[in-house]
Amino acid sequence: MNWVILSVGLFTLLSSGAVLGAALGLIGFILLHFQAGGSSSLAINSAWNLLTGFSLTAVPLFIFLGDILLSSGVSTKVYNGLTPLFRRVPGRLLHTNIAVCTLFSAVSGSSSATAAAIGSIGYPELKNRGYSPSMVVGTLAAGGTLGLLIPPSLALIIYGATQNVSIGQLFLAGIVPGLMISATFSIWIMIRSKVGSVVVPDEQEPVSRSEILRGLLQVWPLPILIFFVLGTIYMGVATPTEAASLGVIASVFMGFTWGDLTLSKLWSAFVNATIMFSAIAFIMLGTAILSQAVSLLALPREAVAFIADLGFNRYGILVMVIMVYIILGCFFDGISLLLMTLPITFPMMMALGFDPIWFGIIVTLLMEIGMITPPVGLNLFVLTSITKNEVSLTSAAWASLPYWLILLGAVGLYTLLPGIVLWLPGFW
Amino acid sequence: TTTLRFHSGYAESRPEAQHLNDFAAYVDELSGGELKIDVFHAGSLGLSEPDMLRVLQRGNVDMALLYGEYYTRDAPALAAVYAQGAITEPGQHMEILPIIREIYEEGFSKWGIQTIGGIVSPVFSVGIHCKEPINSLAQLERKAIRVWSSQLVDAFDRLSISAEVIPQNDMYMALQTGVVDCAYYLSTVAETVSLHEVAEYEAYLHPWAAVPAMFGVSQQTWGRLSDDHRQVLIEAGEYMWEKTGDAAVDPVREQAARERRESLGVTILDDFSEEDVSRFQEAAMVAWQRIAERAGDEGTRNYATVTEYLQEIHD
Amino acid sequence: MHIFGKLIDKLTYSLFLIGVMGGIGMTLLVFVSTVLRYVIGRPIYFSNELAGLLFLSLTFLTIPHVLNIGRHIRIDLAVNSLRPPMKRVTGLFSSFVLIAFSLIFIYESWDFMRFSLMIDARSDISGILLWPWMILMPLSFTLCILVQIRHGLRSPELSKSNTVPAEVTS
Ligand code: NA
Ligand code: NA
Repeated sequence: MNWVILSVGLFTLLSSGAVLGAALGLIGFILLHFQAGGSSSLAINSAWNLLTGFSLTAVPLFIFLGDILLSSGVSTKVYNGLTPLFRRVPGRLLHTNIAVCTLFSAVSGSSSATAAAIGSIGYPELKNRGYSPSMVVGTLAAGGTLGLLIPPSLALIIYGATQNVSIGQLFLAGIVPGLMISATFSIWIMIRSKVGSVVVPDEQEPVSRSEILRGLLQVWPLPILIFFVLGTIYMGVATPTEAASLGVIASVFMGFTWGDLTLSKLWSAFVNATIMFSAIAFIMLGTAILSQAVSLLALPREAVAFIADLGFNRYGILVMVIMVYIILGCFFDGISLLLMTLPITFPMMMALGFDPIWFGIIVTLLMEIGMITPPVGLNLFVLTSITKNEVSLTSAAWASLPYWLILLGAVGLYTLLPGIVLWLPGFW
Repeated sequence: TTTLRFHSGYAESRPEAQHLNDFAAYVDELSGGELKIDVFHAGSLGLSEPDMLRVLQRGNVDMALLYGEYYTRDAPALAAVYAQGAITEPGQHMEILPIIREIYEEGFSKWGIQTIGGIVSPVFSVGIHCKEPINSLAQLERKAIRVWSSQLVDAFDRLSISAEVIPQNDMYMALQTGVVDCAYYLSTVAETVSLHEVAEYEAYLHPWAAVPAMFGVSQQTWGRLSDDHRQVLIEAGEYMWEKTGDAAVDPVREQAARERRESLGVTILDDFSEEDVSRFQEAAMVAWQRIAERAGDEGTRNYATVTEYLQEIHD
Repeated sequence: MHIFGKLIDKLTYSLFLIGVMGGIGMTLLVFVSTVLRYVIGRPIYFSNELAGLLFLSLTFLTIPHVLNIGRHIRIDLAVNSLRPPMKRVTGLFSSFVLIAFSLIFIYESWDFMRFSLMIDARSDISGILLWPWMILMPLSFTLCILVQIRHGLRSPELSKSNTVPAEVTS
């Protein structure tokens, strides 16, 4: 009965176009009241506990940080500074998209913020130079996904805070996979620019070493910012929330001195970021209630028992879980997917003996896959709207397919060789 | 058969969790299989410790492990019943324990919670674990130390030592990266959190004044049970209390754990001097009193009751 | 109805602005505490606790305004392909979901707040009185119901400038 209410409820309420947070919370209330002996009061306890916890305070701070960088024009400077570096590599400026997304990911906690920040600069620039628009959109949608894997990451913060896993360790674990995937994206760009239809214009602009050097010198403030948000965490000087606050203050300072931030731009960055945060917070509220219901009814334990009866080994079960995430990824993505599924999948994976840090990275990868899986894919939405629909959702999705496959391949690789993920945190 | 759901926040690997499984097995045996306890370890019912008084009061769960220290928000007087610095010899813990149990039982009953025995936590050794050889309060003055409660922050503050509450899960990282130089931690079980990898030196400070973990039953559930089943619960709870109480003070265990840590490469320094121990105790008692006073009349009363008995024991 | 609508707009927007300022305050609080930890060797001892309470306020103060401007996340894919009469039905249904959720939430969170007021519940570390923060929960969702009524039980439309589907969540 619990499972019927849960699945029918989710299907009906979500497909009706109701506000996601309210729908999730209502199902939670129904389960708590009718199935758990009138325990709906527990919903408030769990909402209160989640929303007053310190670790989650990093979430709005990282959103503030991203919006301040976006509105201060800092991302434009970085983009232009890195452009000369890639003029000679096959695929040329397409690599700039990946490289700048990778760098930007090291200060931004969010994936679509990364896609939006770099996309709004990169797309017009490359389109004017004659690059294939859909190819450009593909690199941006894919590059954006790095925002969640390369620390700092909202996904890892929320995973760590809700499942009680060390956020610092998760951040360490994300670095190697993030850089590997970024490099694989670039390799694919090189291959694609040599094979098949023409996606890179035949542009013969000579570029001198000094030009490259000058470009690189132009981006010097960025490593400082990366130091504030990442260095301080790894040196143990600051918790992720504290590092985020250092990052916000540093980005305001940078915006005023190096970028073109003004007081009114700063204020609207805060306003926009707050709207974005509030949308996430409502979902967190709804899932706090749903999770309480799910765990009070011991549904994860039931699910584990049920799956164990099927007679799969733990990898068989993992494959099933991955498939469920990919299917759900068509309709949900990002933090909503994470928050909705963890109450069941986390205890299940832990019961099967998987590593909590490793699973955090795998789930994050699956979320990123969801961001570029149509029909509901946030990065695809962001980019089609940046192109003013010159690139349709469908062609953006097709253009993202190679990167989608790379991300899925990464899930497979890290499952076979979990050491790649756990190697770096092992040193701490 | 009747099945009762039992909430516990302890991970399944902890000895407390094993005691709960034993309790469940004993209840099963005593009732001839008619009463079953379904233990949910590691907070898997999604309940959190500070809420447990409210949760049991409303009968949202049948039973729970109640740990007085957690209830600062809802019942500050219960959170201030017992604190570090209260004892300097492990044996004193066993003498004060009946009084503490009585206060908790009375306090929990005000929340409509029936208490039936519980688990007496082992009296482990508390030590200062550092990256450098440190075994005096004077040496600690220039260091940052990790502690587990605000009473301890206050106590160390009175000794001009900068202390910070860091959750157990983050302690390893905090020492590794140098956020703190030392950790105030239970030496006996330090190995389980790999403390020896990040703090090579340790010095004994005092025995752990461990709040007992009581078995609470919600009034709603209690009301539904037959007299026989109530009797079974009382008997099994008392059995666990006796059994864990007998094992609480164990010099052999402490010695073995100490040797084990030395074999892992930990240098065990001389204990903190008697003078340092009494300075720490004095500061800890003042900090404790402050917490008790902040909890109002009931807190002050509890503090007075416990400290009077402690005075008698010390004399 | 016109005045009622304006009143709701103003009220939710004012709370939203307080929320934004609370967010800025939270950033500064954490920043100052971090700096103090390294300058004078100790952080503001209650800063984590207060930051948590500000986080909660930020959430509940901003939800009604964000609902009012149609920026909360919905999965409206299935609905968008429906024909207008069916669309009205699902619109009504989804308003009902929001109102039902809000009513239960108000009932339970009011109870939670009243109980905490009765036992004079305070925060662990700094002893901050908690009920004034808790009351934001029922307040917020009372406003959400009013917002939904103001929009005549339809989903608040996204204004054109807001169509980038909430560069949200990740
Ligand atoms: Na990132
Ligand atoms: Na998707």
